[in-house]
Amino acid sequence: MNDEFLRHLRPRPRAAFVHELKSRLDRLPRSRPGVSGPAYLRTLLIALVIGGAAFAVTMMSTRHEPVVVQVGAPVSQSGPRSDEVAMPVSSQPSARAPDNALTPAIVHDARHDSMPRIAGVAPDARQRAADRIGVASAAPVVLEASVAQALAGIAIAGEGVHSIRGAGGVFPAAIYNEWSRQYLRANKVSLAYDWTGSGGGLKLLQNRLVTFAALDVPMSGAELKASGLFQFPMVAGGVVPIIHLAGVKSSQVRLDASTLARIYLGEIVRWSDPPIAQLNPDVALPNTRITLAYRMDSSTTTQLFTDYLSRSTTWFKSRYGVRSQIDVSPGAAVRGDDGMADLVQRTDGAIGYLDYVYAKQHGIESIRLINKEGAVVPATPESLQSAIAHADWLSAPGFGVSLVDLRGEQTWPMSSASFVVMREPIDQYQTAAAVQFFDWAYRNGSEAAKELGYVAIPPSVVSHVRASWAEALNRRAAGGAQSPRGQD
Amino acid sequence: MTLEDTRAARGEAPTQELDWDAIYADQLPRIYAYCRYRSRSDAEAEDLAARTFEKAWLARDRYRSDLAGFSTWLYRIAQNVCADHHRSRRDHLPIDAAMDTPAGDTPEQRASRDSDFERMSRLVASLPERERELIALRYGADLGNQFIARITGLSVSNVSTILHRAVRALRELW
Repeated sequence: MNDEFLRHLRPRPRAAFVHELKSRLDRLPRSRPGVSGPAYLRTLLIALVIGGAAFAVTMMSTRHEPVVVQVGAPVSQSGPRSDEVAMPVSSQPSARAPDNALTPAIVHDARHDSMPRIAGVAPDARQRAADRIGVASAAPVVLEASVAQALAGIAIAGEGVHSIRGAGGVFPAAIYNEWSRQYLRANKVSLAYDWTGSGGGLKLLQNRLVTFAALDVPMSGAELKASGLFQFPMVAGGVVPIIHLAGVKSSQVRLDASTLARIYLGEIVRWSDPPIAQLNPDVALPNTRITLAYRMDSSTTTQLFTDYLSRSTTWFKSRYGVRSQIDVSPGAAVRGDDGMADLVQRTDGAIGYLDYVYAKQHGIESIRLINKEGAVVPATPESLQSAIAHADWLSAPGFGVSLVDLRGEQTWPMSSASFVVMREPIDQYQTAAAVQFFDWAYRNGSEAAKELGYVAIPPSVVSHVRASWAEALNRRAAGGAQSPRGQD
Repeated sequence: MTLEDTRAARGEAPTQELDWDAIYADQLPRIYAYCRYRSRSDAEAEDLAARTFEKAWLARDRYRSDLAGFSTWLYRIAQNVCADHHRSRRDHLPIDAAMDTPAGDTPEQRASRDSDFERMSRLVASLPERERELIALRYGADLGNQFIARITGLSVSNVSTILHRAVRALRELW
């Protein structure tokens, strides 16, 4: 137990309470203590003088400068790139924009069929929507018109939502916490994420107590279909083996999956035993006895670890299999990442495994692994990104692919992603606001993710996710005739 | 470690604007979490947080140009509200018995009741008053040690020492 754990425990108010109290506060009168009669009159006088001056300046500028309104002119902060689909947007909300303030193409399409919610919406709402989804900022990702249109529709559907509530795994909790701070500042929408575990988050989602759940292990296509949910990856991480060996730097040691499995099966009991020594000819390994550390509590870290070892060794698979809780006694049972880090760091000869983000945040060095290509790789953002790049995201419904033991010279073999699941339809009030948040996080959240030790989902995968949102909307408009990309 | 902490360590000032809606959305979860640490149930914490905000909101124009002043003042109100409440309930249930009182019947409340937080709040309740207060400010309201020092009148090093001792005690009890 440490600071981080206590922060994770931080209780959150109910969304209903937040709304109810806000509306109560908005009805309260404002008192003006400390403003006496003469002071009040003085303030009024100053306001009148300033107001009069401002009015005079406005009148003069109106008389001499004609108002120029550019309809459909491509205006963006960095200018349109030749390889982008041009998205003409008025970036001046205060300008006298015409009725088609968002973009002529979008509005034209929107008024015809697929998104009736866009038609009839006030121009300022469309402008706010465009501002919020960042269409005017000319993002480097090539957006198809239909995707931009879908995002605009989602932005309008989610307009007016002040808080979003989610729950799920421990792994993404820190980044949701950080994103929620930034999103609040940028868009004045709060996000509360409760650390309940993936199963708990899913239950809360099914009971409609949260808008989204974050899962450490993706749902299958059949499960998604049966529950009426859609799914996409949000952020990636992994699991790293850690050791403590007096006189040996952890990053010098390299192991492959089968040796690691044999260690956990109790076949290799000393650090100087031949299978380890053969993999580390340049390391002076002591004859210390290996102490196995394992998690006594149920965790997705253990699940990923056992998944990796089960793929390499049939005996490990038949003895333990892929499980979120194992007992590899004789060994040291610990609780949580804190317990694991604590035990391994103070036990000479110990080996254990940690969540990558935890290890990075606490500066705990991991060993290197020999991946599927036979290359020795350290656990770094680049090696985790390589796993993401080598995954065939469209091969499974809802992008529900495993990142364990993938190909690629630089690939870290114990990689994983956190998945978001939400209820369909996508353009409902709360769901749309949540999708908007995730779209914002894809655009603006990479830096924070990187600083906290997470690995962002790359733009190539994000463009598929956005396309799946667009297809979900189109399917809704078409009455469920088509299946959204990656969701069926 | 949050990004805010990282930035604070780098000596960067937090970027905040005096926007009442944003202040409400940012501060309510903190005040609520503080009150939750200082109370026995979710409902009680909601009541305390609501009372704090109602008091502050009525006179918020006084702090239009001083966000730091407003935050300090808001936490002092919360401290007083919680202290008053604590005094008024002293004659009622003993704390251990109160902790066993079911919080409610919704699935969310059931999940919450069984959570680690429930266990932790029992342990925090067993600490001396000053430790309890600092734990609530640090891990409930998520405030930095400097800010806590400002609103409690303690020195920063004193706050760090007391918190360190309290966390160590909690770790032993956990």
